[in-house]
Amino acid sequence: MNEMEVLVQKEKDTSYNQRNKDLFTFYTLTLINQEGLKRRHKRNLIFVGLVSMIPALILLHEVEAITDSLLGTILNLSMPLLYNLSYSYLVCLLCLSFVVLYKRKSLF
Amino acid sequence: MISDEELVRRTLSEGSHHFGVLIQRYADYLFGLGMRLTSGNKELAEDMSQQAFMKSYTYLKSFDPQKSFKHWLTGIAVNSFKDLMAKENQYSPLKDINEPSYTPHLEGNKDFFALLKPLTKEERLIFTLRFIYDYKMDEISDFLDMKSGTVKSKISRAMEKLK
Repeated sequence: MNEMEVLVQKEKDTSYNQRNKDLFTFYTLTLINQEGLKRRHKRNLIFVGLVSMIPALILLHEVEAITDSLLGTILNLSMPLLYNLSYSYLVCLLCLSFVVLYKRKSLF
Repeated sequence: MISDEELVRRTLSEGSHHFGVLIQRYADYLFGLGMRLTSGNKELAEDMSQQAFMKSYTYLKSFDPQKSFKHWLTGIAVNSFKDLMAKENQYSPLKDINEPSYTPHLEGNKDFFALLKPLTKEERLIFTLRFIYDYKMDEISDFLDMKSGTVKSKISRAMEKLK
């Protein structure tokens, strides 16, 4: 029997014991349960996310019609208002400039 | 005594508390394997055995009751050891920095660990499985997902180094 065989045999006869086996078991089981809970939460989150996306998908299907009607309403309401405002502004500006010019001439 | 296969079946059907019995049963075995593979590093050995138990619980459904639970668990532990070593190697460039580093507290049969020092981690793993745990070449190749011929050549290379 050479030295290597002796050492191998000695190692075979050596026994190793996990310190505080009960605590180790408890801790490992806690980690296992924690991992399980994490996985379950993730699965639930994905499920809720997918379910909550259904109304959005239905809305997206009709999105073109909704956008068209909304834009149409906005344009119908805002365009005359914008036109009137700009027109009134221009009239006011012309009137003001006429008054100013008239007053300057009168001054000279 | 309830068999391992029965405990696995109960764990799958009734809950994780039955798995505690399996942990108690194999804690020393996996710790010993970890100690031998990490050359007596107690912390790494504990980490390895804990990871092996956690992985085995995750993949418990894939366990074939026709096979031995211990054998299946050993395969998982070997892979956990490889993962731990890969993680350790990721940070190895830090060793170049000249700073005080953590020195693990080593225990166990120091002469045996000194004997295996010239071997690479993989060779140490194969040598330990073959000569300490008396696993067959086919079983080791199964654990390591290697061809039997590769395992044989690695063992003969390790033996050359040890001569």
